[in-house]
Amino acid sequence: MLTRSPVRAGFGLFIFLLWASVSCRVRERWQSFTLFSFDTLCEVQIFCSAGQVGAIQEEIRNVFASVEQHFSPGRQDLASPLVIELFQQSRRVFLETGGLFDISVGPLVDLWGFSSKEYRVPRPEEIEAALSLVGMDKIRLEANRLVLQPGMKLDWGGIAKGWAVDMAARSLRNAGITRGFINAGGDLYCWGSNPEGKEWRIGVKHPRQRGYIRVLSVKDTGVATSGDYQRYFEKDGVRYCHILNPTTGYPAHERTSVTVFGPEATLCDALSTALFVSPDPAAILKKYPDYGAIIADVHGEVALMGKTPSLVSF
Amino acid sequence: MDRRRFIKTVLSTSLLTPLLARARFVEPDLTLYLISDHPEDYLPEIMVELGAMSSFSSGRFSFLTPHPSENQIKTALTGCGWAYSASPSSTGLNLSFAALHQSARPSFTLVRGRNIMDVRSRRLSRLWKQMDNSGLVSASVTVASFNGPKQPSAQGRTAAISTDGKKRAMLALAKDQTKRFDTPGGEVVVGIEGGRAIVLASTCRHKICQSAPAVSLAGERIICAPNRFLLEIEGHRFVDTVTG
Repeated sequence: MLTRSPVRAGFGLFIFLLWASVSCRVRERWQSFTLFSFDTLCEVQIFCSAGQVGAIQEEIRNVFASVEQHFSPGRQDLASPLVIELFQQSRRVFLETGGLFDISVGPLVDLWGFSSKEYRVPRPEEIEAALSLVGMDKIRLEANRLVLQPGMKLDWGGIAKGWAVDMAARSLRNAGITRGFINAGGDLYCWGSNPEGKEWRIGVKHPRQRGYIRVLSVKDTGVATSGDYQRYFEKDGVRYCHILNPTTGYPAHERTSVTVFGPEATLCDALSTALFVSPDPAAILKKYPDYGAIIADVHGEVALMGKTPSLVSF
Repeated sequence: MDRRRFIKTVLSTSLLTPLLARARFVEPDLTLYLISDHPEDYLPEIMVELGAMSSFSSGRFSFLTPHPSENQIKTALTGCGWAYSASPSSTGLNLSFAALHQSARPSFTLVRGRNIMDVRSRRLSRLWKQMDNSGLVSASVTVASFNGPKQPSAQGRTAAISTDGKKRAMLALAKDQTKRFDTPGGEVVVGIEGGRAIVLASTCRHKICQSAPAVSLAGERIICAPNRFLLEIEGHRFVDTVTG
């Protein structure tokens, strides 16, 4: 009769546990993939097992598709709980920024041709007329439905992508993914540590040249950038960018790039738009003590405002 | 323009050769050698054209050495969007002056990296001919060094091509080549030239990918969203991801 001594049995158990431990660790590794959504490239890097990747891709696709479906121009269900929720968030930023972030800029965006990509410089009276249709304070919320005045049009481009990134990141963290980032065309959220076990290094693209103006070192942080180089047209030597000041009706022209970092990508997205057009971005950031900004102006000067960032020198 | 005469003009003066050698040592991103006693007459046009054909754009400029035309150059450059700074350490364009040992026809030469740029096929060619045919001789050279932002990433060796999230090809940057790729939205043509990758043609509507500057550093990308096309330079990246 074969019998095993307790020592041999213990050794066998140890080997089994070691193998199980090692195999579990081997199965979790850094996974990277890209997908196209919001008319841009979305980049994802997460620490998980190979078997989880398919479900995670599907989850991110679903979140992004849902946001696109609800917030794309002309496809808005003004009674949808998602729309109401993002409207409430947008309204808070509208009030805090003195109307410099405004999702009702749709008529101005159309007027300048940024929606049709048939760009033109409107006449002052046309801008005046479009401005009469702009202003979140003109939108009412009645019986869980947004009520717009005739001619008003919502443009969620300054907040929806950041919101989608936050939702997708939250979903992945709830599913047990402890480290990673989701970057939807520059609106991103990163959590945990990077593959080197350090904070994530986020390059802030130079608005005019190759390379970066700064490199952020962050974790559990959202980041978003508004730049005059992403969508613009030039006429008679003047650059007209797609970021419109909702109070004047004209494109902002003092800055080339505004990057905001802070706890939520949603707010980073909205604030980067507001700070881009604001004559006094520091005053706005005082209301958001957890947020900071890297602001590049047309003279090539770069200013840091709000919460002090952790920067990587290079 | 005759290429041999062009190169001969560049190298004919006893002063320019050591300047070129120094450029190799310092290695700014781009250096302009402008032979003219009146550089302010030509700098604005050259600057505008450089802005159009490369990633250099207006910023701040400074003087590394005293220049006899300093005031005129300041006026000319501020007129085309550049701002003067007394401190050369933080400027994107630094100018210096040198006297030629022998007079030469007015002309200019652009040196990128270690190569003389051939401007014959560019709009600058017209200006070069105009200067060459002016019948003047000049005894001074203005050296303008353009410094781009610091590049923490290394030069890449391959360009990875993906369509719809799936890797399709790896193109060596060391070999000049042109490749066509079928995409979910049509077709994208990629060119590798002089160690850089660029989109030469695309079936997309707005051609944003075609107007993107050439890429060569690890992590740099050209994206064509309508075609679900991604070109990315592979190699060690200094950053984990990029915003902007």
